[in-house]
Amino acid sequence: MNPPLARDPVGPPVTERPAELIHLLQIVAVAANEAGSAEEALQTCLDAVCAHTGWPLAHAWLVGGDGCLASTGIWHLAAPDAFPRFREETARVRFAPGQGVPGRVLASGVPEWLEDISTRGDLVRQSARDEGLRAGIAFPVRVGREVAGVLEFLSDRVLPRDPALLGVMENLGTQVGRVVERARAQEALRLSEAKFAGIINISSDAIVSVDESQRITFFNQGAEQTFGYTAEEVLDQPLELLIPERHRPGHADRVWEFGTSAVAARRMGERGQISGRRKNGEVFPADASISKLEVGGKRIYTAVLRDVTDRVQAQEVLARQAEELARSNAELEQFAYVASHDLQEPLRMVSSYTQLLARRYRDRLDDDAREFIGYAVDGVNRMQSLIADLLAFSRVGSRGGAFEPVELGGVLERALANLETAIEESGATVTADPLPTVRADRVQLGQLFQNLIGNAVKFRGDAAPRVHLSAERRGGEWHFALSDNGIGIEPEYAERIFVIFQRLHGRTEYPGTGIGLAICRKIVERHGGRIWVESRPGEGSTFHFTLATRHEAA
Amino acid sequence: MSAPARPMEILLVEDNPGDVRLTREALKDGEVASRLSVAPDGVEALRFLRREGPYAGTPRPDVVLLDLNLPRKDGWEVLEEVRRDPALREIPVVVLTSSDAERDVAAAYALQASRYFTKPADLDQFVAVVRWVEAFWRGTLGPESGG
Repeated sequence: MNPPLARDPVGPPVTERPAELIHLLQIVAVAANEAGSAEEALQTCLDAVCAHTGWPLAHAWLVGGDGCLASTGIWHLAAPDAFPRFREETARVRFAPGQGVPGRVLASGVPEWLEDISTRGDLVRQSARDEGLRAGIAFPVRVGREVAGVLEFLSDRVLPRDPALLGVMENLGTQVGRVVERARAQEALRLSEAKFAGIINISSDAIVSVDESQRITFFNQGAEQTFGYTAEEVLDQPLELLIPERHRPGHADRVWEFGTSAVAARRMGERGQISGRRKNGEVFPADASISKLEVGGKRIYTAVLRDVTDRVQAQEVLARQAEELARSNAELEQFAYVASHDLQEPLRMVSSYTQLLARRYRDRLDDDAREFIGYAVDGVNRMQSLIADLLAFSRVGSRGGAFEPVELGGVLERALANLETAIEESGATVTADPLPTVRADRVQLGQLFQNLIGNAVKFRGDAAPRVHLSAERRGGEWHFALSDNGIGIEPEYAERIFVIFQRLHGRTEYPGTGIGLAICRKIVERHGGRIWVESRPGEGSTFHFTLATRHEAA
Repeated sequence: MSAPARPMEILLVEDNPGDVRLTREALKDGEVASRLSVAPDGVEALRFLRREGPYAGTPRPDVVLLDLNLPRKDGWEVLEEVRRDPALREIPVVVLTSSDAERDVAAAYALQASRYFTKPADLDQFVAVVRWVEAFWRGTLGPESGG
């Protein structure tokens, strides 16, 4: 409440003297140009206008990110504690375009002069009338065509409209607008610089700039962490500090050569692994790129560098493990080969002499003895099959042939010729898509086809086997599928059947040692492919396998 | 069949008594008329062939059955020396070994082995091998037969 002011409901005409108005305009124009910030310019404007008019209350609104007006908290008050409720309400509200007096100015860009707000209760804040305010003037702060904010002035007296003052105030709005615009641009620049500097600085990559004399001019946090130096320690020091001794000769030449080349940036290390040198003398491997920039006629080189010690170590470990694995595989294959070869020797003795016993003494042996010998012979035969298969399995890896272009149509033909008897006896029909030529081990692919087709014929149901081999190019590999109408496999065994000596059926039902698919898998894997089966009992099986289209000899 | 009446003189170079006996039994079962001498290693085999020391009075074998894995001097060395020795190089040498590695087969023929057999586990096949040897020696070999 401002009772002394409230006594006189009609204020005097503010001024009619253009000189004073021009003075006011000058004050604000100068202040606007000198203002360090938009806030300062707004405050100056409010103060100057109130000083000129004697109005007790002024306030600045600015458009926020949501397009509505929000209080800036910038006020001119006749007394520090004046109009508390109006200020409190103002701080709380936001005006969308068209809402309230400020919102109307925001929407129209045209000043409002309400001579007596007591007649416009619908438009003004309730607290304004509660605190005895009588007149209100609002004008836009313009940035170009856009209204960036609204300045409002209130009086506890009825104020007759003053067109001259209104004209000046519009002009002030434009002056202040320029400051707001400049401040906005500066803020945007500051934010962008801060953002950029922040990104550069917190980057875990080391970023190091040098001038033309190879002295360090920029050293970010990533560089501090990577090299162990603080920026302070290295700024203005020669770049050589960060380069291992053995890489120093020629480094400056290479930078110079890059400086004179046409490219603005390039990856470093095309001649070999880039290395950095830490403060403690440790040399580390790095990925790096270098760029150049001309600023004010001077060339700046900036290297972005990443410590790849972990990656290099991981690669080394991986390579070592691969080597060890290859060696242990080779040893295992050699072991299997030697073991199975040497196992055959005593077995041959058992087999031969058991047969000799049976032959020479048949008439002198009773039924029991003959049965026992029968089991012994059977056991020996099985053992021989197992050893022969083990040998064949070990040979897939250790005795594989060279990779050459192999025409698969021919391979299929030979496999079918080898299976002629089984195919004829079962009445099987084997068909195939046109087959490609691939780089492979010819003998092993023959074995693969023969094993798979042999299985399709062997594990047949009641119907005559129908087998089809399809081939399809998918990306960098050939995909083959061999479908049959045989007995099928429970899905739970789909993995197990590829394991050596795993069998799903009794020997009397379907003879065999359980090596065929294990060999198939080893052959396919040696060719950089995969093999798997899709099947259900009674619904046939489809064996899928892939072969890489480009494959170096393994 | 105009077979020579005398039995075939065989030198078996073999260190495994089981295989020696098996060879004898196969010759018996195959009714191959033969006299079998045995050298347990390569050194003895070459002394036998050259009729050195205790072998001074022995007959020159019609055929050598040669195992490759032997103590002291292995079958490869024996084969090589026999083929290099003008006095011995005409003697047929049949390799009879446990290895079925292609590499070994090729190497043996490169050293002019007369024939390469992998020792069969089946007795009948063993008999077939010794019968082939007999036919080979008697020059009555029919179309490709034996192991």
